[in-house]
Amino acid sequence: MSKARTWIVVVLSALMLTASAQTAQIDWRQSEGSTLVVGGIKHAYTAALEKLIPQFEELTGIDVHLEVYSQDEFMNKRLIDLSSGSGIFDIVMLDQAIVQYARAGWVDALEPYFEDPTLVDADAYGMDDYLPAMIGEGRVDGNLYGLPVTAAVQMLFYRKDVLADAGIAVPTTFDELYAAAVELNQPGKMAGILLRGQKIHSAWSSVGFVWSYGGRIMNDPVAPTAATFDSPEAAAGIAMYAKLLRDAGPLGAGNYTWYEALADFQQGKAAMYIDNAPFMGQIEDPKASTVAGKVGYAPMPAGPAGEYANSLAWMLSMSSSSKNKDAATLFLAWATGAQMALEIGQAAGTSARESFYASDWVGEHYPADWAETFVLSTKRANPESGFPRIVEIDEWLDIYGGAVNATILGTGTAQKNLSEAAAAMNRVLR
Amino acid sequence: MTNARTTSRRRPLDLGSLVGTVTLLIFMVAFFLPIAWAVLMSLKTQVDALSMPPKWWFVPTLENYLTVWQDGRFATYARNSVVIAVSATGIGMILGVPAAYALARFRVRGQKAILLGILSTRMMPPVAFVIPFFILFTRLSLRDTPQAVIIMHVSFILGFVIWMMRSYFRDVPRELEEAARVDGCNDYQAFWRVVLPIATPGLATSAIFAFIFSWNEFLYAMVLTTMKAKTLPLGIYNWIAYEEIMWGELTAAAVIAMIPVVIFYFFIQRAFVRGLTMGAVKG
Amino acid sequence: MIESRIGSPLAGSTARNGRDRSTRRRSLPFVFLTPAFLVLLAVNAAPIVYAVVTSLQDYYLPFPAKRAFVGVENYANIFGDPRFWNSFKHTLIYVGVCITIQVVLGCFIAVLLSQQKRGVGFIRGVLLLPIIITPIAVAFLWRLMFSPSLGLLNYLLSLLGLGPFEWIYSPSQALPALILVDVWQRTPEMVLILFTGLLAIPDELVEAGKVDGANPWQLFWSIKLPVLKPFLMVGLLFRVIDLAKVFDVIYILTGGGPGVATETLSIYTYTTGFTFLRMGYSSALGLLLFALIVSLALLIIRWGEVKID
Repeated sequence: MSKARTWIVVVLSALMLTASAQTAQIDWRQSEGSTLVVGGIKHAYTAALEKLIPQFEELTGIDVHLEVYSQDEFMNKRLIDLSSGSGIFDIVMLDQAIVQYARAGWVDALEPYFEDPTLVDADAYGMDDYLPAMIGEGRVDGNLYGLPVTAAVQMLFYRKDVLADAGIAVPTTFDELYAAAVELNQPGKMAGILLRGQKIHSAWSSVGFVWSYGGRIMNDPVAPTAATFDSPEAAAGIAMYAKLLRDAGPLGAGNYTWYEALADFQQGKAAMYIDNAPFMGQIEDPKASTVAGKVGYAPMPAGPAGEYANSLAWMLSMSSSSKNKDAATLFLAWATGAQMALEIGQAAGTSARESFYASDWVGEHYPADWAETFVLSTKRANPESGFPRIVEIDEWLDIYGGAVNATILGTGTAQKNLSEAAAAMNRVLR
Repeated sequence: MTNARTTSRRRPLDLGSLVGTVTLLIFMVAFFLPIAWAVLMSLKTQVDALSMPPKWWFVPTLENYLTVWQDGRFATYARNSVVIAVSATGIGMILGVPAAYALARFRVRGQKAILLGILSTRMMPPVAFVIPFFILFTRLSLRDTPQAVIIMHVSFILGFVIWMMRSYFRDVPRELEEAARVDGCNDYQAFWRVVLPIATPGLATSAIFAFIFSWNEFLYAMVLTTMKAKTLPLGIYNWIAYEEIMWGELTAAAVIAMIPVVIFYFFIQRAFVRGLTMGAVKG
Repeated sequence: MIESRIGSPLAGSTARNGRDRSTRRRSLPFVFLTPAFLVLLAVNAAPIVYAVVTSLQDYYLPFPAKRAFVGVENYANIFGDPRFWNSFKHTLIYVGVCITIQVVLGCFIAVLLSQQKRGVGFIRGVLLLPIIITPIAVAFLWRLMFSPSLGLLNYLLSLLGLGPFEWIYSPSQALPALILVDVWQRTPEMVLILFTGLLAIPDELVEAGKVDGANPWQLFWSIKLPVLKPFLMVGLLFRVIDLAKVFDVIYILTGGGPGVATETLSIYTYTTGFTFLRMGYSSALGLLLFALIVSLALLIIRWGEVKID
C-alpha cells in the first residue's frame, strides 16, 4: 500500500473508533433538546435499556425518561394514555395488543419514518437481521407498527437428572411427552409436566399445540374474519394439552399462570415444563432456582402435522399522539438497530435479531442446547400469527382461553368447548 | 380493678377469663401469622423464600431492604404517600367532624337526603368511575399531582368520618353541652371545649381508619398518577417483574410501608387512651 | 317528626343576655355542614353524569368515531347476559358470607378483648396489622400461601394430616378462599369499631346485670348489644358497601377465575371496560353495581333501624 493509502486507512479507522460505534450516516443531534418518555414493563429488557440510555442521551442531546411499570399496571396506563390522545408516552412497549392499537390509530406505521434517510440509515439499521417470526408480529395489515426487542418461543425444559434416572429419552412427539409425563408424575412431590392452565395464559400456550395437530385459530393470517379453532384438528391439540395437565400436571393446574409454573419448576416440583424460552435465565439463576445446571432444553415436541412452537415478541411502537416523532424515531433506530443489538442483548439476555444468537457471547453464556434449539424454533415460519390479527384480541384471550381452561378443568370435551367458543367469538367479531 | 365481686365468685370467673385470654391469643396468632410470614420472606433470598417445606432456619439477609431503600423512586413514593395521607386525613377530619356534629345534634332540613348523599360517594364503585375521574382531572390539569389523589381520598374519607362520628356524638350526653351553655358558651365553644374532648376515642378511631384508607388506596392512585405523584402501594408493584415476582423486595417494601402507619397509630393511641380516662361520659 | 328531647336546642333556653335562643337561627349547622357537602358535590357530580351518559351509548374504544346513542340497549343486553347474572350471584354470596362471619367473629373477639385486663393496647396493635399492610401486598402474599405446591397453608394443614387443597386454583374452592382472605384482613376493623363502642357502655349497667345473675351470654345479648347496635349498624353498613366494591384483591388473587368462578360484578365491570374496551356496556354495569350497593345500604338502614333523621 502506498503511504497515502496507509494514512487514509489509519485516519478512517481512528475516526470509526472514536465515533462511539455509530456509523449511521445521519445527524444524531438533529432533535437536540427535546424530551422523550418511553413507557414499558418491568423486564430484563427495560432494565438493560435503562443502563444504556445515557449513551443515547450523550449522542443526541435528547432527554429520555424511561417509565417502567408492572404489566397489569402498564396495560391500563398505556390504554388510557394512547386512547385519550394525552401524549404522555412517546414510545410504548406493545404485545399482542398491537393489532388493536394499530387499527384504532393509536400507534403510527413506522415506514414513513424509517424510510426517511435523514432519520434512519437503513444499512446501519439492518432490518433483515430480524428473526422472521418476530418481525412478523409487528406487521398489521401490511404495515410495520412495532419493532421487536425481545424474542420468545415455546421450548421444552426438562430435568436431565430426573429423565436419566428413569431411563427416559427426551420426548420428540406429544405421545412420547405424554407417556414420559405420566411415568414421571409423583402426585404431591413432583409433577410430570407443567403448562399454563389459567384462562388467559393458556391461550398463547395452547396455540402451538393446535398448529402441531394441523389446526388453525383463524381463517386468515392477515385479516381474519372468522374463528376456525373448532376444527377436529384443533380439538385434538387441545385435548392433548388438557390430558397432559389432568393426568400428569400439578394440583391446581387449572389456574396456573407462568408465575406458578415457573416457581414450581425452579423449586424442583416438576420434571418437565413447556413455556417461554427466555425463562432459561430464571431457571439457571442459582439465587432463584434450586435446579440450575440440571435442566436440558429441547424443541417443543411434534404433533401429527409437524413441529410448531408459538412465538411471542415485545415491541417498541410510537404513539400517534407523540409530539416528538422525529426524536422518537432516532431513539427507536438506536435502541433496536443492529449496532446496539449485541450490547443491549447481552444486558437483557434476549434479542429479536439473528446476529445476537450467532454471537460468541451467547455461545459462552447460554447452555448450548438452548441456543441451538432457540434458533431452530424461531427460524421455522409460523403458519399464522402467534396472536390472531384482530382488534378484539382480549376477547379472544377470554373466549378461546376460556374454552381451553374449561377443558383442562374437565367441564366438557375439547370439541364441545371449542365449538361453543368459536360461535361466541364469531358473534364478537365486528 | 376493684369491684364488688364476692370471693365465692372468684374461681369460676378466673377460669372464664383464662379461656377468654387463650381464645384471644389463638386469634392473635391467626391474624399475625401471615404478617410474620411476610417479614420472614423479606429477610430471605428468592430461592429460600419459595422453598417448600419452608425454611425456618436460614441465613437472613438485609439485601432486600437495601434494594428497596436504594431504589431512587422509593423516596418519592414515600413522600407522596405521607403528604397525601396526612392531607387527606386532616382535611377529611376538619370538614367531616363538624359536619357530623351538625347532623347529630341539630334538626337539619333534608337530613336524610344529606346523609344518604354523603354515603353515596362512598358507594360509587371505583371500577365504574375511574375513567370519568381521569378525564375530569385531566381537564383540570391536575393529572399526576398529589392534589388530585388527595381530593379523591377526601371524598371517600368524608363519608366514613361523618357517619362514624355522628354515632359517637349522639352518645355524648346533652347535659354536658347544656352545662356549657349555661356557663355562657355559644354553640361553637360548646362543641370545641366540651364535646370534642369527650369524643376523642371516636376521633382517634376515625382518624386512624381514614389514614390507613388513604395510605393503602390503590385504584385511583394508579389511574390518576404517572410519574411524579405515585404512592407506596404502586411502588409495591415495581417488584412484579415480567418473569418473576421478587418476593424479598416485595415483602420488604410492604413492611417498610407499614412503619409510618404504625407510628401514626401510636400517636393516636395516646389520644385514644386519654379520651377514655376522661371519664366524664360515665359520670 | 316532633320529638321533645330534653335539652333539645329548641327547648326554650335563654342566653345570659336574655335573648331567646330558639328564635334565633343557629348558624352552626350551616357553617359546619356546608363545606363538606360542597366538596362532595363538586368532586362527584361531573363523573356521575359522564358515567350515566356513557352507559347510554355504544362506545367501542378503538373506534371512537362510531360512538352512538343507543338509549337503554346496554341495560337490556345486560339483563340477558348470563355472565352478568353469574357475577351478580357471586357478589351477593361474597358480601353475604363475609359480612356474617365478620360481624359474628368481630363481636366475639371484641367482647373477649373488652374483658381482657392486660395487654389490651398490644392486642389492638396486633389486630391492626392486617388492616395496615397494603392490600396489594396482602393479595400477593395470600396467592403464594394458597399455592398447592409452594404454599404455607397446605404445608401447615399437612402437619395436621389434612389433605392438600387447591384453594384459589379450584373453581369450587376459590370463592371460599377469597372469603377467607377478606375475613382475615377485615375482621379486625369490625373488632375495633365494636370495641370502641363497648367502651361506651356504662359500668353500672353491666354490674347491675351481673348482680341480677346474668351469665356472660345474657349480659352480651340483653345489655351490651342494644347499646352497641348503632355502632354495629354503621360498621356493618360500611363493610357491606366496601365488600360489594372489592376489586384489587380479587383481581390479583384469581382475576375472576378459574374460568369465571370468582368473577364479581366489580371484576366483570372492569373486564368489559378495560379489557374488552366496550365502554358503554361497562359504564352500564358499573352503574348497576352502584345501584346494587345503594339498595343494600338502604336495606341495612331500614332493617338495622339506623337513625338518620
